Amino acid sequence: MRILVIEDEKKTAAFLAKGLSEAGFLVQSAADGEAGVALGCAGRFDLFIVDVMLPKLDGWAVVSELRERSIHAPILFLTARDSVRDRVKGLRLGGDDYLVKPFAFAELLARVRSLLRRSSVQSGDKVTVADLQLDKQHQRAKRGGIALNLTPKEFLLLSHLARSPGEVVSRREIAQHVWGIDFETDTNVVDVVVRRLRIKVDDPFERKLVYTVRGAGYVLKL
Amino acid sequence: MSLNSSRRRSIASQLVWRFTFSAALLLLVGLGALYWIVVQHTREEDNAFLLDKARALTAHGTDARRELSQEHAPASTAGEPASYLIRLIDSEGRVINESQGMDELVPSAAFANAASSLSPLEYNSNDKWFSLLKINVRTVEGDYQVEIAQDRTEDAKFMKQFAILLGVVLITGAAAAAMTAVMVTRRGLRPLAEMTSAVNRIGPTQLHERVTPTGWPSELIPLALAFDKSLDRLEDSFRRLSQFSADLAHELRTPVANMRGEAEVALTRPRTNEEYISVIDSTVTECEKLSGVIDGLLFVARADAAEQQIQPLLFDGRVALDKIAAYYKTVADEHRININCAGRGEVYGDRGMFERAVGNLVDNALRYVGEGGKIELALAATSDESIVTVSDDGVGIEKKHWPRVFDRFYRVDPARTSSGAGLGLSLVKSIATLHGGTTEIQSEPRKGTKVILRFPVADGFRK
Repeated sequence: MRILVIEDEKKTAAFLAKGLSEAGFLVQSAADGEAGVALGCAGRFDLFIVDVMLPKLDGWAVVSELRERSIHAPILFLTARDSVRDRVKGLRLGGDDYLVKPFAFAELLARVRSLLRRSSVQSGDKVTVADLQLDKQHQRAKRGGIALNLTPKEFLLLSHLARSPGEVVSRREIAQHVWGIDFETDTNVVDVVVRRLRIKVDDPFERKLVYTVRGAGYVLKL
Repeated sequence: MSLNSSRRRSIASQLVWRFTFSAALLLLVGLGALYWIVVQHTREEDNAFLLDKARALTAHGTDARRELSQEHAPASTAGEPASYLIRLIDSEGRVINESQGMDELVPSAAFANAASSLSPLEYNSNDKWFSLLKINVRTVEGDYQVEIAQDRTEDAKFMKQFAILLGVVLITGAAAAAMTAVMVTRRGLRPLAEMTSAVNRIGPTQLHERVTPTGWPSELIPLALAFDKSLDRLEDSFRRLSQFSADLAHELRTPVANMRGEAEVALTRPRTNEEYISVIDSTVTECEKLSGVIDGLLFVARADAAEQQIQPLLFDGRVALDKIAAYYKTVADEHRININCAGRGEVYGDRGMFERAVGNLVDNALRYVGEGGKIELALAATSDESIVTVSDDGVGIEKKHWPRVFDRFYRVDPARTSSGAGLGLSLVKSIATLHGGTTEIQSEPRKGTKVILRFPVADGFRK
C-alpha cells in the first residue's frame, strides 16, 4: 500500500513517514502543495495524507487538483484548524476524513487502515475474535465457551471494539458509540467502564484481549 | 455633519454666546421701551402746547384777527421748545400777517396736508424740524385760516443724543454680560477640568484609584459614581485577565516543563530501554493533558468571540439529562453516589452543547461529593425559558468564590491540587452565554452546591 504524505512541517512529515513505514506502508513525502500534486499524479498512491496549511498550494487546492485529474484515492486531512466550517469545507472538496493536530498516532493509523479497507469491518450478528464470541442479536458474549455476564453498556463497548480488531478506538469514539455522548470531560467514564469490562473479559483468562494504547484509546487484539 | 460640528463646539463658548445674546436682547427691549416712552412724552407735551395755542386763538372770537395781526410771533429762538411761527390767511388766501422769516422756513404750501386737530404734520426744512397745524377761525369780519409751525429741532437733537446714549449703554451692557458669562462659565466648568486630571491619573497600574464622589458639585457626582463603577468593572476584568494569564502560564508550562525536563535528564547518559519507555510514556501523558487544555481553551475562546455557530433546536431535555446520568452512573456507582433526574420539559438549543454543559456540571459535582453522596439533575420549563439545576450534597463553596467559579482555570483550592484544568465551569458558562442564557451558583459549605442553568426559548418556539 502506497501513501503520499504532503506536509511542510519537517518533524511531522518525518514521524508520519517513520510510523507509517513501520506499520507496513510504502511512504513518500512532498513538502509543498505543487510538489504534492506533481508526485500524486506521477505515482499510483492508495492514500493521501494532506496538511491543510501548505506553501505554494494549500491542502484544499491540492485536493481539488487531484480530484480534477480523476485521482480518487482516499484523502485524509491533517490540520490544526478545527472549526466546523473548515471540516465541512475539507469534506466537501473531496476529502474523506479529517484529523486535528495534535492527534494520537495510533488514531491516525486506525483511520488510515479504515480508509484503506473500509469493507473489512466485521458486521453481522455474530462476531468472533480468537476465543471471544459475540451474539449481537441476543446480546450475549462467551469466551472459551463460558458465558460472560456483561451489562448492556459493557456489551456495546466490547462489540464496538470487536468490530475492527487490531484497530485503536478512541475514548471519544467509545463515548459516542456507547452512550451517545459527544464531549470529553475531566472524569473519564470510559476508563472506568473498560476497567470493569476487563475484570469480566480478561481477568479470568490467561490471554488478554483488551489493551490500552497510551494517548489514543483502546484496542481489541490477540 | 451639522450635528457633529455642534457637538464639537465647547460648552463654554455655547454658554457665553447664549448668555450674552439673551442679556443683549433684554437690554435692547428695555432701552427701546425707555426711548419710546421718552419720545412719546416729549411729543405729547409739544402737541399739547400747539393745541393750547390753537384753542386760545379760536376762543378769542372777534378780536382774533387784531390780536393775531398784532402778535409779534418771534422767529424761533434756540433752547425754547415752545418757540413757534404763526401765519394768518384770510378767506381769499392772502397772507395777512406772519412771523418773521416764516415764509422762508415754512412756506404756506407745506400746510397743504396739515391737519386741523390732534395730530400735527411733521415737516423738515433747512435742518430744522417743525410740527404744522392748520386751524380755521371764524370772526365777525370773516373766516381766517391760521397756520402754526412749532419748531422741534431741539427735540429732535435731544432724541438723537438720547438714542446714541442708549446705544452706548446697550453695547457696554452686552460686553459686560459677555465678560460675566466668560468668568462664570470658566469658574463653573473648573470642576470638569479637575475631574479630567483626576481621571487622567488612573492608568492600568493604578486601577485601584477612584475619582471619589465627594467634593464634586452635585451635577458631577453621578458622573464620578458612574466612572468609579466602570473602573470597578474594569479592575475586575483586569484582575481576572491577569489571573487567567497566570493560570494559563501554569497550565501550559507545567506539562512542557515536565516533558523537557524528563527528556533532558534521560539524554544525559545511556539508559535502559525501560527507562526510555517510561520517559516517552510520560511525554505522551503530558501531551494528552496539554491537548485537553488547548481544546478547552479554544472552545471557550471561540464561544466568547461568538465565533462558534449554534444550530438550536427544540428537544426533550429530560432525555438528554437521562443520557448524561446514565453516562456517569458507572463512575458514580464506584463511589456509591446516587445520580437522580427529575422534572421534564423541552429545551431550545444545541443538543450537543447542552449535554456538554450538563455533563461538565455533573463531572464537577462528582469531584466534590463524598462516598454515598447524591447528585440531582432537575429540569423545569416555563413558557420562555428552560431551567436545569444540578445540585449535590458535597463540600460546597464559600460565598467569596461564587462570582469567580465560572472563570477560566479558576479553582476554589488555590493549591490547584484537584485533577482537571479547571475549564469545566467556564465551558458551561460559555455554552449558556452562546445560547443567550445564564449560569448561577448557590452553595453552602459542607451542605452542598446548586448550579442553575437557564436557557431561553426563542420567540417562535414558545408554547
